[in-house]
Amino acid sequence: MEVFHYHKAIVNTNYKLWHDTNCEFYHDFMHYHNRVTGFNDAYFARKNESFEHGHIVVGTFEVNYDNYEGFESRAGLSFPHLPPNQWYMIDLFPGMNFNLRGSALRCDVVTPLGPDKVMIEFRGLGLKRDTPEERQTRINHHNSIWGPFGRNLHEDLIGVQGQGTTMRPGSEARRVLHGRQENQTIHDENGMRHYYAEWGKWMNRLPSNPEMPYAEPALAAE
Amino acid sequence: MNIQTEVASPPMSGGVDPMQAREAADAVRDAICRATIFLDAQQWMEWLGLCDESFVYDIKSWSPEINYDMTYLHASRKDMESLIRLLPKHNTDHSPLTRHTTVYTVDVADDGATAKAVSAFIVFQHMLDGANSHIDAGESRLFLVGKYHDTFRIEDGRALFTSRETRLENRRLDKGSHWPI
Ligand SMILES: [Fe+2]
Repeated sequence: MEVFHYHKAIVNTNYKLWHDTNCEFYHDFMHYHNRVTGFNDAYFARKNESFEHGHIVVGTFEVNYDNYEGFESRAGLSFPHLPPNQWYMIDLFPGMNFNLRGSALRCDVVTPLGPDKVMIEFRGLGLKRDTPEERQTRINHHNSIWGPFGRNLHEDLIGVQGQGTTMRPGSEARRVLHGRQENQTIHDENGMRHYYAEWGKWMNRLPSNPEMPYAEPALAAE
Repeated sequence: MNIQTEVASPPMSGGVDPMQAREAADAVRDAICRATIFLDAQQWMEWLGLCDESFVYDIKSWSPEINYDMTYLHASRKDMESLIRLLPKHNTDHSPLTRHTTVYTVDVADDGATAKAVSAFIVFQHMLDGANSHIDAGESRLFLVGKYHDTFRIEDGRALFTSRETRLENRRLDKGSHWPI
């Protein structure tokens, strides 16, 4: 593979909220692009799978890019062994993401700069063997959603900064609800519950009440 | 740095008439300034009205981090039209952007039918709310710095953009933008 894209963002929010955008998909409601290219039965059947040590895999489905005005199907270009127009994600605890949308791979790495400030570095990758035309197509596909001038990334960054705003010093104590239970499908928040359980172990804090020491969840881990 | 505001290469012989070249260069400067005004005013369709049907828009930046000349956006005129039309359906940061553009060089081709120009720009973002609207709102922040590399088709004394390559010095882009720069 070869890295063709790099940019960074420094935003006033907690690093876990960025990781959340890559683990939890209820927020797809804020992405017009994802609503029109996804949101069918296959989308709602996508599975969130939890692995040891806080890692998560978000299952795939076929994205209908041509449902977005001016966009075309991306079936013509994919990654080796990946069927066309699929969308897989791997979220590594505590803040690294591999996001593969058929033709382009995105990798996010977070660096917390404080409790209310995070740097996110974004990389885009294609295949080393790409022809110049293939590479340009991958770059265009990557940028249309994930570039700094793309449709979705801007929305995600507005979202997490808004969350940061509600949590700034002097605000009332806030709770992030991860209570949606939908058989570990795409809008189930099992991925983030799993993540916070791991965070609680590392920090010896109870995720639902961080002033308390960590305790195993009463229910079996999901 | 090559900074000049006159026609860069007046034809030695057989080229375009110097008066015609000067008029073409003036038309190019006028188009660049009008583009800045339309973009600042978020009059996207009026901005596209300054562009030829063949218009291609790019945002690029060199990354020393990955040793790669990156493309952050590549769009035809049709792509830009659909992007603009769909903007109201998206969640966008509405802090206005304003551009300070300085035309550095204008080169009119020997046949007087096309031209190239290089301009410097600085884009400021005027915070609408920010992380704490009581403190941040109304503050102007440096957002982007770079150069426009434009090409034109000259027709009936009017310069129409055929391409704009927006080259950024920035790679830290924070929330980025849904808007053309
Ligand atoms: Fe998102």
